[in-house]
Amino acid sequence: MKRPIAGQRAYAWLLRLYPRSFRAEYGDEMQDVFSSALAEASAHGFRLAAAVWLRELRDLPLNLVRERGWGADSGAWEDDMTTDSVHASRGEGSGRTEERAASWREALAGAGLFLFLPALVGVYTAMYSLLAGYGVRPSPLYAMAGSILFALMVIGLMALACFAWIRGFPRWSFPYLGFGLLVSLLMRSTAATGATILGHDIDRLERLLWQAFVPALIVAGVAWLVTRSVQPIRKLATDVWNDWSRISFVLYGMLPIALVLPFDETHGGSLLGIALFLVLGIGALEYMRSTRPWQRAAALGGGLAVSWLVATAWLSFYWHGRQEPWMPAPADGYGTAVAMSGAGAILLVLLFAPSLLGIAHGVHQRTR
Amino acid sequence: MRSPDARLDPPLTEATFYIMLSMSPAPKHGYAILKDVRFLSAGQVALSTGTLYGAIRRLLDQGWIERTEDPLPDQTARKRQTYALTHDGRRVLDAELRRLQAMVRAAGLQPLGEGAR
Repeated sequence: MKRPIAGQRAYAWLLRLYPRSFRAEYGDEMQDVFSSALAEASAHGFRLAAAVWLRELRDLPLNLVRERGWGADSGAWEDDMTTDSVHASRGEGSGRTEERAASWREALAGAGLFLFLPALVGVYTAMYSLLAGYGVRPSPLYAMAGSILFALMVIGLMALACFAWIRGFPRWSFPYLGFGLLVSLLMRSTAATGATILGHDIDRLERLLWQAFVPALIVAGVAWLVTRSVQPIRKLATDVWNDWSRISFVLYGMLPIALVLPFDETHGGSLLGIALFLVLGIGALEYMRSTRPWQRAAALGGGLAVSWLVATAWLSFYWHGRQEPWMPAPADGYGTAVAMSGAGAILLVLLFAPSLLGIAHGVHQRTR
Repeated sequence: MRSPDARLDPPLTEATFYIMLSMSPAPKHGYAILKDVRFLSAGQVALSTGTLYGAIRRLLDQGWIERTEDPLPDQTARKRQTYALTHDGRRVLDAELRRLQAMVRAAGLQPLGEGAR
């Protein structure tokens, strides 16, 4: 039987995407079987040969996820062989925190959001300074550059969310989920005034409303296409049930935005903003490296408390006696400090609540 | 109630079931399994090579199948690997067949409503 050489070569290239050990064990056999299937299909016409290729390409993402061990922490999903086999052995309802510190790689991934944002702020500030240095007045160019940076951030978040979903929502991914959720909620009610891309005016939308969740829907769609399993969602629910501090970690991911909001209408705070994000990053690193529930709660609480205190002090001094043209009277630094402290206390309570409830739940389970 | 040992606990996925069913009468090599699965499922399950060998790897890991010598070696091609059900694999397949038969029997006892066929 004549074997299409080009098809075999293309398939050999495709095989290189599989892990080396898998290839070494099954590569030759797979190549033989594929060549036989393609040769037989080709003898019956182009349509059948195309179907062989389409089947291979259709299944490739899921096969790679399984064989490369990208799926739900342990690699392939457990319901590969049986259709309903998940529950046992996971210790649902135990209220325990996993007693394993994250590796440095995982810890850095968990803190990545708080390191990436300073980089974004830095790039934007540098670009702004550069354009201003050349005498470029605020113009659609600024808005366009800002839009492009924002689009890059959204695309990056979407790619990360997809990856996290496919991997069964590992612990490092939780702050990204919180950040993405808050960005979507804010975009839902925020008008993109003056936003233009390549000269095209996009501010007519006024409010994005449900369109703000389109990226989340795309992430869900892509992740579902790749995994075709509810196992990642099950794992997410089980992990959160076993370690309630993960909810705190989701809320922690929203803090960069909460920290930026009080700096509205201020000038010259970019460097401080970068430093505050880095403080949050240290809290996230500490959280990822901790093994005990109270350590995890303390790491997140510490990150919030330190960054919020510094922001409160800076803003109090900044506004003390300052009067902008739109203000009827000079601002009061003391009033700023009180308002910021109140907001910080509320954030601390919200952040601690799931962790503390989780600790209480764990104690209750152990004493039953 | 389901057994705590999910490895021996059907239901199997459709693909796994047909792959194991294909090996049931005699050991088979990869291409024969691929064609068998399509035939046994009346064209409903068409496996890609990647999916077939992913399943074979997991079945080997589970100890439900094993590698055997090809009883009918192809003289023109290189030596082909064949796969056969193990004792555990046969038990799992039998259990799955009994489960499916029980379901079909139950469906036969129940008068089906209009539009159910």
